[in-house]
Amino acid sequence: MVEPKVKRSFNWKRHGAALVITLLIFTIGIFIGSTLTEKRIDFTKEDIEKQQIEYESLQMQLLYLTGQEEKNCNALLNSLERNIYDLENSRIKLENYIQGSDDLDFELVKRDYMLTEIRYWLLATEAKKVCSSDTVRVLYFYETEESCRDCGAQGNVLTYLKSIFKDKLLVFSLDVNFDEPMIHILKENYGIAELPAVIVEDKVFLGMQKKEELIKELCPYYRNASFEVCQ
Amino acid sequence: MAMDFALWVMYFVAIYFAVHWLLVILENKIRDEARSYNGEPLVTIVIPAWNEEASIVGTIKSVLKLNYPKEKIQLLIVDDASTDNTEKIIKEFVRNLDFNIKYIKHNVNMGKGAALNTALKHAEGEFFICLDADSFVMPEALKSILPYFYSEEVACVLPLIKLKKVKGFALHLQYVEYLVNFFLKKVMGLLDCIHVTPGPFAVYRKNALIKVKGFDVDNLTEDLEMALRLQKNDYKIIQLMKAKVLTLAPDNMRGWFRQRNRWYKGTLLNLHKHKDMFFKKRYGEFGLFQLPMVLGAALLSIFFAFFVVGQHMIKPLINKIYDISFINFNVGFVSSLWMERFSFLDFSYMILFFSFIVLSFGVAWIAYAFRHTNETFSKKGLVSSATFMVIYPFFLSFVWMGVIFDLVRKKKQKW
Repeated sequence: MVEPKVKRSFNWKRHGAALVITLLIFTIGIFIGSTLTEKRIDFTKEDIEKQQIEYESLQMQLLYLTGQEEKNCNALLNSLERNIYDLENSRIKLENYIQGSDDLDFELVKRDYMLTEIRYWLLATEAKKVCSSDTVRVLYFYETEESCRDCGAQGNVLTYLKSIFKDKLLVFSLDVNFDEPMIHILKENYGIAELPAVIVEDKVFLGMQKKEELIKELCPYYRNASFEVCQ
Repeated sequence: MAMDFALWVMYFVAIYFAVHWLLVILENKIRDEARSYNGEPLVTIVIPAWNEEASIVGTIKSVLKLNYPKEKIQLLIVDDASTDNTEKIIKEFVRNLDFNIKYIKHNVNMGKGAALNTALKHAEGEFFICLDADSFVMPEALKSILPYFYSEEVACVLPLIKLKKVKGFALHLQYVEYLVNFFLKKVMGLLDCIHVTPGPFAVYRKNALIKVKGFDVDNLTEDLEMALRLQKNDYKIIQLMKAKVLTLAPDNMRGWFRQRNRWYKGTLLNLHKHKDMFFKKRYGEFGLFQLPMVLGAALLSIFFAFFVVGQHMIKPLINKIYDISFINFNVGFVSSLWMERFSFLDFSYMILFFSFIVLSFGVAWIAYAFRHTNETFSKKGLVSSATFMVIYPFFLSFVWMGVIFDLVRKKKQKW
């Protein structure tokens, strides 16, 4: 019997060409990825800069109103609420972008966002006093790690409540794990030992708060408004 | 982070495989080369059967209709201890046939490899042809296959296998799957890299089977094991596109899952059995590229199953459902919020780019497959191709999850 004799070979040239083409495809992909990250960083940076200018304007308005006897707070309260809402939306976007990239620039931008959230929270406290408005401030402590199982759900509930109470509810979100001294101070001050944590005005709620529980908590603040959920 | 890196490696390897095979297609002629041979040697056709009462008569009939002198065909039916009416049906059907048919029955179920070895002992033909009892050979297949045994190094010639009927979701999915896989096998054959000789009408040179000591018994995929052993002994395996066999594929997804589970489990076990061929220059493309690729593709699917599907799709989906359960599953609210927050920067253009590349390869591959298997691209083809490209990877990943699960708990199975 004739022995079988398939001639075995390995085409290094073809495999080399395949490698080069694959590398080329990858380079294009990575280039697209890094361009996108850059665009996202620019976008979030521009956005937060805009927010900071808005903040300065509102601070000035408040300072002016503080000295006035006849206070017409409507314009101030409206733009304050609008800016806080926009800030929240941008922050959520930023968190999503951070999940898709480990670019360190995002961390710098996030610090700006966290600080701006706190600034607005302080400004809203002042504005509430000066204008004696019935808006409620909610400080929401979260973390992005998976260990906080309910943080996503709590965020959703707060966004949902915001859609009900609209301009009467101001939500400020802070990432407790973010390395920012001011966040640590607030965390210690409110004794945040569990996440998520929701502070309604100055009342602390630790752990997941269902929407019904929060509605029950919020409604007493709105005696002058007629929200269907509070009936 | 390590997982992200692994994901990139996965994309890279997958794209490398695709690019490589496209280059092979571009540098070679895919069509079957023209060969002629007028001899009519004695052939042994073996139908191994285990509980095949539903289809075996059709299979035998297809053998009777072969365009080949009937005195040159020895038909062996090996019944591996069927428990249904297979025996009765066969005996009744062959009683008055003027044909060289031998029915052999195992007393105990021993598996398909053992059934084929029993047949090998009784085989008188120069060629040994395995025909699964759920498959039907086309009349011209044998005559088109034999010329390709032009040299002693050719141990096996394979026909193109298509589905007998395409009806319902599971079969539509498999319709394109078969076309693509056989086209891939044709291309692999160009580099002597075929690693499986499927049961439906695989024609072997009997001497080669005897030289490699017959089929492995107690093997989930004895056809894959046989191909690996033929390759190890430097035999040639040829895939033809012009010889056709029709087969009955599982017509529901459960059957599909079970069949694929057995195939892929068999693949892993046999790759392990022949691990000594990996990365051996002596086996050329087969050892240096094909075997690592088959294993790599298996690992990719497992990784895709657990990491991409499990971690990046199922888990976030469950999380999302959990999250919106607190707002009474108000999907309208969530979607209007999403619309409000949406901007074009939110798209991950890099992922879109890679998806586009993968999709393009998929389309090219399917287009080639249709062309070279002589299928017309009808509405059926369009629906099947779309389903195949979008859903198939996910189904495959579920199969792999099952395979890993079975291997971990050491489940035993024979056919």
